[in-house]
Amino acid sequence: MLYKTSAPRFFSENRVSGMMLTLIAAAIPGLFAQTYFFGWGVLIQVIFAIIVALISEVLVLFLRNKPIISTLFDGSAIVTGFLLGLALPSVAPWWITFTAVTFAMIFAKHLYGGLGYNPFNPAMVGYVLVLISFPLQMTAWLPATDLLLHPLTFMDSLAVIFNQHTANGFSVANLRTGIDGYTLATPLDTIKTDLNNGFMLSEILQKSIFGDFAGKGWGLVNLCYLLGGIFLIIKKVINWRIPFSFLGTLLLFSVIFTLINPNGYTSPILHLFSGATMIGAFFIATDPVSASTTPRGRIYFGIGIGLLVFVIRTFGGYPDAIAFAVLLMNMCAPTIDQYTQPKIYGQRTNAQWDLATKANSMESKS
Amino acid sequence: MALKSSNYRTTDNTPDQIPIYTFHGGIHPPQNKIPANVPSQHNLKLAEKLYLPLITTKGQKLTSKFSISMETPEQAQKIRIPVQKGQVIAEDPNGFVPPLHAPASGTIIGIENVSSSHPSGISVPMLVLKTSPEQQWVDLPSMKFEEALASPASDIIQKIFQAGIVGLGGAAFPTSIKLSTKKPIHQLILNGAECEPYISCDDRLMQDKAMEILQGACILAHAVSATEVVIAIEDNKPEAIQSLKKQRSEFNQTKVTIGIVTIPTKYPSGGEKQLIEILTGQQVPRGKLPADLGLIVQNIATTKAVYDAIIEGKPLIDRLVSLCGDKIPQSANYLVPFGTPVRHLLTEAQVNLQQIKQVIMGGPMMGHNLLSLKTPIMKSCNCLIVPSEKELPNPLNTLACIRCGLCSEACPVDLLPQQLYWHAKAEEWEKADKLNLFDCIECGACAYVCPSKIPLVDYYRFAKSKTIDQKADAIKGQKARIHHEKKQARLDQIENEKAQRRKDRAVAAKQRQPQSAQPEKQDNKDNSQTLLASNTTASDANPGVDPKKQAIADAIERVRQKKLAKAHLEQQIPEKTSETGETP
Amino acid sequence: MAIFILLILGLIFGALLGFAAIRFKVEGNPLVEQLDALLPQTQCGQCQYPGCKPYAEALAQGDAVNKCVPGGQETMEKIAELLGVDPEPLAPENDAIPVPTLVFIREPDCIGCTKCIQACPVDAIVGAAKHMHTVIQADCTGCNLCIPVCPTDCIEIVPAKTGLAAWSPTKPENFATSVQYLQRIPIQWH
Repeated sequence: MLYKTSAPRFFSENRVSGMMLTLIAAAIPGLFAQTYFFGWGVLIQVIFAIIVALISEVLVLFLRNKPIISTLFDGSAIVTGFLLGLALPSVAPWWITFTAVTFAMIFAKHLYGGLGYNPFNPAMVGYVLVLISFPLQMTAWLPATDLLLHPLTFMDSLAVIFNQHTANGFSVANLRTGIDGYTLATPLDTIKTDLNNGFMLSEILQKSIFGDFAGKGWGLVNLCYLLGGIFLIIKKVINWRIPFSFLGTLLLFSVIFTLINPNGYTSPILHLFSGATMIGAFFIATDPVSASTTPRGRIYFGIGIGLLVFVIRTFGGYPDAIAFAVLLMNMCAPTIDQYTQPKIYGQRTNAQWDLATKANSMESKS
Repeated sequence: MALKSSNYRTTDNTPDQIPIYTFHGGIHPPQNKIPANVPSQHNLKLAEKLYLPLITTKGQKLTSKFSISMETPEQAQKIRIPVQKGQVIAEDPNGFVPPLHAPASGTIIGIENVSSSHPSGISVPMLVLKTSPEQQWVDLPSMKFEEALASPASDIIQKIFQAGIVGLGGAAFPTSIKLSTKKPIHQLILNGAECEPYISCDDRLMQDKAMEILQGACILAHAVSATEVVIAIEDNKPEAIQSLKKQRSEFNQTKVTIGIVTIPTKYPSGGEKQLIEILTGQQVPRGKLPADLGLIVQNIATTKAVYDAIIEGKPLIDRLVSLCGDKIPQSANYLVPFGTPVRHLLTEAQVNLQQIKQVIMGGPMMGHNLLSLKTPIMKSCNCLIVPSEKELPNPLNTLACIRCGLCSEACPVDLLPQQLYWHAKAEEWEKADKLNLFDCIECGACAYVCPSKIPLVDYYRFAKSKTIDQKADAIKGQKARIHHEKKQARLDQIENEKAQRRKDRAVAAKQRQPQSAQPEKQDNKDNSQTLLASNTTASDANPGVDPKKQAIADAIERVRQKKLAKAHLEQQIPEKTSETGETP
Repeated sequence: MAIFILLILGLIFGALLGFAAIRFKVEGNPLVEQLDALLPQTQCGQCQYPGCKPYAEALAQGDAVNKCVPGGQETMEKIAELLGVDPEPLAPENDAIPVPTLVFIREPDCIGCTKCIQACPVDAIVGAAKHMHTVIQADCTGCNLCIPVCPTDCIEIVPAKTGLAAWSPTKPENFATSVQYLQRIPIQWH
């Protein structure tokens, strides 16, 4: 008995699960760097977030009566958990991570229809929820380990996350004390607060938190994410347009403002290599489902994100603004798509066509 | 946008070295071609019965040249019409579709409904030709090459039509109509790209019949008054390129310049519009034809068929078909006469028919499955694939679209396959149409790269047919609405006229003495001038004289009885309930 | 101060709206036109209204959306979407996807009574008293209003599309349903 198959009967090796796996692989160097500089907390958060993401996805799929195993294996839940684990502070209490991940999976992804149907980046929705609801815990970032007065061991990190105290009785606030006795914040946070207080950039950069070239630890972490991102572009998992237009816009604006007032604004290097810029550019903003899809649209999308990040960081109330910028541009993505459709084969303007036919007839005469 | 490919930048002015451009997108699937050293099989045993369809896969009807009546089984048994090889057996009364010729001598024994090669597998009536052991051609009007170049172009085109030549690349468009364009043509392009995997019949032709192809090209160029011929061949066919170049060096003619250009292997560079963009860097504007750019594109096999028709006088009765796939012990190109059932071809190629699961007519990317092995091979079939399960596995797990955009990067027409998919899925036909759904060439490049393995080409075929239906329905609805409104207006006008007349008469009657009842009654009968019922019934006719009228009277009586019976039945039921209802 | 500014703004915007209401006024009820455009224009009367436009007007007044039989499920859903109401199920004896049909007059039985010509809402039957009647199939909408009035019962229903024209590709769900076995491939006849 003959059967019928569908064109085309050849398929490339591309698979959704393969793309997700490549994404995770590209982020592994960044994960190692972040763990190396900021302690075991990072790794614990990531693993915990992935587990919570998988469990919540299984629960929701069970409620929705969808096939569980095949959906889990497309890897999108793992990627969401992974990115959220990297985005949240390494000493954030476990219930912050839990809330962020479950909200992201259930409300931002499955309530809209699951993979492929969510208009907003799920990881960023979860992040923004906890950022706005629990500002105290979300601003409790641990500085680089060699700056710490009380460096954390693996068991200490575990204890802090799940118990909010180490075995020695230190709370998160205690742990953030630097060697010189001050409570340390992230580089971007430090700059923002001090610029507001009237200090000049050159003075601020003298602080211990600004080590290698863009904040102790943060610079190298961002460099690792940059390398991972370039790997993704070569492997064609993401398109070059969004990250490059985002970084280019951010660079452009920070350069312009730094030229106007060299000491009054964050320097371009700090903008690009501090905070979540690189992970945002290559791993978060490029989430294909919520971003723009047309080639020109992607460039506008990236420019929009870059602009918003710069504006919020410089003039807004938050030190780091990737999440907000990405979500705001996610809202604009369908409109951008509608107005940036490419010209298809044969859709030249009449002037160009007349020119082409004239050239042809002249050739045939000669 | 056209990009210059750096390998082929021109420095000198030889006709082979022209600047090559590239088209947007494209993919590189595995080639799986039959090795070039496998010779083509010309000794296929003739099938016992050949089936020649009288309705093409596009729905065009051909009328058989012989009157065949199959109304009773006895009549059907007796049909025996002898035909010779190459004799015309069916024609299109509209003169659009070229005629169908008998691929072998034998006898026509009737018309059968056989599954056609349309994707639906629908049965169409086909002439059944029982072949005879001895084969005899009809008289073939051959001519020399120089004579052909000296005859007027219209004669050549007429001969091409009479020989039944259609585009043999798969679309089967009548060649003579393409050549009859009124636009000035300066270049003839021969499409030797053959970009689809598995297919290699053009490759084989170029190696074996290079001189015939060159002569056919010159004849075609003469028919459209072109001065240049460019033969485009993909670089995975080096033997074909060598063979053509060798024959060209021995070919003595100066009327046209023949360039043999190598193009990079990419799917689908064999599409007409994509090939034009590769060779000239220009895109054929939407709604226009290649002839508007002064170009005509012809397939290699069509060119050889033109040579056969003009120089040797032979009509189109057979073609090379690539028979490939793992289930075929010896993949090769076979010379198959039209009308040969697929079953016969497969049996001759030693295929175990019990073990095959799929037969694909056409290439793997754009071909369709055959639903019956009795389907005959006709002009548009260039390949038959009989794959094993491992060779062309169907991915059974389709995921949701993740909007990655790989499909729009691969599309050779620069469409947005993803948006078309979303609209086709949501059945929003107007939006899909606005996104240029009908420019899709259904090449399958988008579905090839899709990581979610969505059957995109099926969605577009579905969307196209529904959009066409919707547009047709809208036009029909518009017409119906206008007719209805006109009819309403007409009836209203008649009512108004009647009311006016009645009013006038009433006024006139009031002014005279009271005798107004009778004129009004006459007014009511004054209807015959309008289109309203005149109430003619059979009772007006002369009773019992005309048998036709008697039949009509009987029919009316039957209907009346039926209506009476129905009314009686309906009355009986209320009677019964009223009986039971009445309780004293 | 704020109250004053808001008052001024309110007056300005009110004036703008009033101006727009007069300058850009649309005659008639565009909703009825839109609804009429969705209906299939069969003019059959199965919705109990004498034509599609009267039903469109009734719909604009809030009538039930599931009365159109030739339109079927698709038309009902589109009307419901336009009006912003819930789609209601069609009556069970009606097809969700009606097959388009035409009518055909068997000329040997026709007596030239013109009853069908009067009954046809779109003037698709050509003929005159005591002359042959015939259906212009290109204009026939398949409403079947001519069939009950014919005294000789000579009008029959024929499918609108036959053969290759009646086939159309099916909507794919995924590749699994595309792998269909020979006997079970459904041929779409509409």
